[in-house]
Amino acid sequence: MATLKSILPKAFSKKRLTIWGKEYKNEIAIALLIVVIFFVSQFLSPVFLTPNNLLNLLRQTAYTAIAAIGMYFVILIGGIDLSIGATVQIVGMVSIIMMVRGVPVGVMIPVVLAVGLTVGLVNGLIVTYGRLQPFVVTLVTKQIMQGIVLVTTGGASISGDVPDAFMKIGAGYIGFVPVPVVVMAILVAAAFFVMKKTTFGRRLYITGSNQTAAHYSGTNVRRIKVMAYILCALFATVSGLLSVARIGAFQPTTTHGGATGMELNAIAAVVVGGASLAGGKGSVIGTLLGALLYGILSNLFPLIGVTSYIQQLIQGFIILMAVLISSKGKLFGKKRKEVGKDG
Amino acid sequence: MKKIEISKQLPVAMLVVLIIIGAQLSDSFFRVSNFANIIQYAVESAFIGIGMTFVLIVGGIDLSIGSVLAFASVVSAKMALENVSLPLILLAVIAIGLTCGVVNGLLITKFRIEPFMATLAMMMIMRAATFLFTGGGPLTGTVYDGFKQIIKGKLFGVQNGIWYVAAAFLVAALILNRTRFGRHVYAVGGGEETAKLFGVNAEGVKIAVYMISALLAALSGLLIAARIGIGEPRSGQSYEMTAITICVIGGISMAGGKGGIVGTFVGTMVVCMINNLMNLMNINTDAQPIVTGVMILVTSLIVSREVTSKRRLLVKEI
Amino acid sequence: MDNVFELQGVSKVFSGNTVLDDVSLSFRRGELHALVGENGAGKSTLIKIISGVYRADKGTLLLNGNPVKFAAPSDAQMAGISTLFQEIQEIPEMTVAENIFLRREPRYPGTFVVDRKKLRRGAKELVGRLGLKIDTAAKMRELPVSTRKMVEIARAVSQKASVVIMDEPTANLNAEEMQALFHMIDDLKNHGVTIIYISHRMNEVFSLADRVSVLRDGKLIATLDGEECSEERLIPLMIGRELNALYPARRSSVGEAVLEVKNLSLGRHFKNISFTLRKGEVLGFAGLEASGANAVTKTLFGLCGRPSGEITCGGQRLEIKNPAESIRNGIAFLPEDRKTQGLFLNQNLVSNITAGALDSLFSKRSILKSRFERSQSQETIERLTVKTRGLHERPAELSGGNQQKVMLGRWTIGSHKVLILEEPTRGVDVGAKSEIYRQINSFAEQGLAIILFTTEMPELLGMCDRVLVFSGGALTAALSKEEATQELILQYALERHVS
Repeated sequence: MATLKSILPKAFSKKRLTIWGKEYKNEIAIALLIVVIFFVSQFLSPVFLTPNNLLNLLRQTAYTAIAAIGMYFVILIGGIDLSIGATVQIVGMVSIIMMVRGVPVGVMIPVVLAVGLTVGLVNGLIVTYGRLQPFVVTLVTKQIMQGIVLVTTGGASISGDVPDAFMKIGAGYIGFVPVPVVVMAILVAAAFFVMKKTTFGRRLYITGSNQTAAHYSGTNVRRIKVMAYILCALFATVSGLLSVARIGAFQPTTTHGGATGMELNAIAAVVVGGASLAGGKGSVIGTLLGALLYGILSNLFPLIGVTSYIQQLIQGFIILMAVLISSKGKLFGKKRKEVGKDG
Repeated sequence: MKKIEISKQLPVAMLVVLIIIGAQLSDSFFRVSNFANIIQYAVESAFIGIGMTFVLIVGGIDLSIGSVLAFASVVSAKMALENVSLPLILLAVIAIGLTCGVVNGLLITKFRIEPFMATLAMMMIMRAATFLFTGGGPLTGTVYDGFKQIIKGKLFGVQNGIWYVAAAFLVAALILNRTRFGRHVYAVGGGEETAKLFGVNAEGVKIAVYMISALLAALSGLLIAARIGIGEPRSGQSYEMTAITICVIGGISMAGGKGGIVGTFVGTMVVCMINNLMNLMNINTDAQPIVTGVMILVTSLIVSREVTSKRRLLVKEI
Repeated sequence: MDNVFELQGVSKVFSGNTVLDDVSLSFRRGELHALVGENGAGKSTLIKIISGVYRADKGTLLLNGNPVKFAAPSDAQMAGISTLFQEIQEIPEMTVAENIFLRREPRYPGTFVVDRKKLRRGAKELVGRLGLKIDTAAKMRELPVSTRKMVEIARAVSQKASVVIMDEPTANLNAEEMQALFHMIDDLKNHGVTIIYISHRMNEVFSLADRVSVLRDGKLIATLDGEECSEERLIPLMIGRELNALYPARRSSVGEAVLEVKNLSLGRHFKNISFTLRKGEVLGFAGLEASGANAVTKTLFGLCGRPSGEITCGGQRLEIKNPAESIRNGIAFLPEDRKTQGLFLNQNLVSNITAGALDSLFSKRSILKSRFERSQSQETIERLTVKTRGLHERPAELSGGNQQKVMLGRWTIGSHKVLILEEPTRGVDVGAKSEIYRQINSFAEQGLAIILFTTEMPELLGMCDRVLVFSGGALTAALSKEEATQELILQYALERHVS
């Protein structure tokens, strides 16, 4: 033991490791869980561990993971965005309509990103300046956007000539890695850097932790919050573009309202990754791992014959478990107190 | 001098405006039959609106009502298809509602999960359970006539639906305004810590409120099954939005402790009348959520502005 | 005289801190028993144990000679012990009558239906019997603070409480309302109700109390009869040491003017405030609730919207907009409530300490200088002797005093000209207190200009070069260190005091 200690550099000292382990215990737990699933899966399904399936799994994960990173920013500041599924729909519709009408991809992408940015801006402004609860605001904007999609398309799918260049984004590879996975990797790395190394990332954390204190120490809390909603919508936009590029057509979901699909997957990934809905807690890596775990389960379940309804059921329970775990430790909840009242 | 509170006048003003617009637009609008028609189709909205009223007043939210409704709907349809008698069906529906409500309530009180997250998970789980129950598609066949009569029947020449709406609002008003429990719903929503200090069983009140909400959702599910005569697992989607819309328009505060059943009634009428008008005007049904969505936002922004300006705090809120 | 309520050997420990240490106290029927002591002496913990909010770790509570255990505040209420906390316990959206009878709403016999007539009549009768003029049908939120306080007392009376605890009941009352309260207290006493009374205002304690118990550092120091009480007698007991020992000497020289405020006004909060703050000076702000003292400090930091008047800082005219702008102009602010306004409880110490200077010191083109952040934070916690296991710790894991030091530490970094301190020693123990005072002195010695807003009289007298006294939104006196006494400050603070 003594020799081991002397070999290990200072960075791996026992103290450092315990601190590190405490700080990242969520991430480590999920990573271990993933390893266990990998190990067990080879007995359950011969297909699961094949390179092809793993690449496919990564590609499936990429869409959720990208949206989840966006959601992570919003959850970090103590908000929520239930409108990302509808944002993906709007984005998909706009991009396909533009391409079918012959708008070049180079023009279409900036326009679509601008659409996403506007959605985020509207969400953020209403939440901060209108002082409304984020989940109400985003539930309503979701409903409105879905209405817009249904009115525009009449509920029918749109297809037509989509440039090959665009389809390459969704279906292509760089080396042997699918393009969406590369995009995911880049975005995750960028988010990781922003959160670790920039003042903006720090301000997201402290705003989520205690917005009054952040305000009192010189952070423009409203701007930070609006930025988080914008980022969330932009990440959803990218995710939407990637999935449209895979299919090459647009299919509106026939139901409106409710919170289903995309946003729930993203929220689940973030919460499973260790974030707290109260804000100020969670990491990019945790979110990525959460999305990965999620992707693995939804890849594995059909392979071992679990029906989609049971999957949905399990998904609900996973969210519940994750929230249960994250709500522990703050058993006394947060009391809202009006401060600074003078007369 | 008392300042006029816009938020208080808003729901009634909306109702009046809608009636005027309706009268201008369509001759058929002002007929008794049209109003009876509106109310007849308002039953489900009224039920879930009332349920949401309780939940919002206590300071919570229930997103699971649509799924609970769907589950109760397919279960009752299945029972009706197999000729199970009405009382048994009713019993099953009530049991479903109360169970879902208890689970929501326990998750929120004992496990301290935020209401919105707990009921969101419940919403997913119950929807999945609904699809599992039907195997995916709707349950079809012929239900016996007595089952359909639940909603299609008449009592003293008045459609059952109208009776249900009237009964639901009267009972809800009685509970909320005239029982200790009802007053404690307001107390917990308006100041939970104080209510606890005074010995109010806040957790019990909350659990009961979620039970009421889920029970009313389940009963709506029964009515829908009776109306359409099949077990449709997709029914009830986005109903939580309808319920929230009704409450927000009716002046029930999302922050808890404020609002009343009269508001819910006006809210229900406004929402149903808008739908009726849009149908009369041949507006695309897909566009209706846009209209109601904008209405929620505008109404709640007005109310939120008013609340903020009334507080008169020294320190500006962030 | 018989004892209604008794505490025997009550102790309470919070995260290793002994807050109450073997306290035994008895309360007689119909007496007004005042509890005095400095902030952090254990008074509020004691009343929270009596009222069932906390449970004692050790010791017993006796009610009429029988041991009792309160699992929740409602248990204590049922047993006849009502508490008027500093914060009014109310449901703002409900009426006075409903608030009074909450959970005890009268019902039509044999039904679930609340008898609203009886409810209203009962409230009216009660209020009338107590000689109050309150509209019982009004919602609580529509009423002024003083009336709401009276409603609480009425509620306690209606519960037939045998013990009523009052924690700073006069905090928001004007002179007239205070008189009404004192009348009511007399009335309660005549009906045999025991009152446990907590107040910082010594003159109230002297005129009202039948007996006075002094607490210090969690221990019961003495119980005196009301007649034997005087300031000379009580204050040394409360503080337990010479004032000078707690307030170290400062070797700073007061220099040129740093902050000049002319005719500053803000709505109904304060009017025409003018003063000058100098380099190296500690300027005390004194005043009762709603006096404007606290409103001025908050306004100077940009928390309250734009005031009218003129503020110059370092020769430059300032536009007060928001905290970010104030910080950029060299004004730093230590808020009164560290948990809700100051600290990021679940972030590490580095994030907490560097939060105030992220742009100015710890980043370049928005990229954080992590190494510099860590070294500066380390230096700060060493300088302020924060007891911690390392920078990775979160304030949630620290004691109150250390939390306060971390918050103060945030403003020791960077080049500020003015430092506004709000209640810098609230709820910290004596050791941390003197540490904080030393730090304040070293700020002043480094040439910072300091505004100290505090409700602790000894702190004002011990720390400040000058004291500005506010009353009713106006500046009523500027006293030098030599002139300032407790009586004088209080006199000026009450001069225009209205609610």
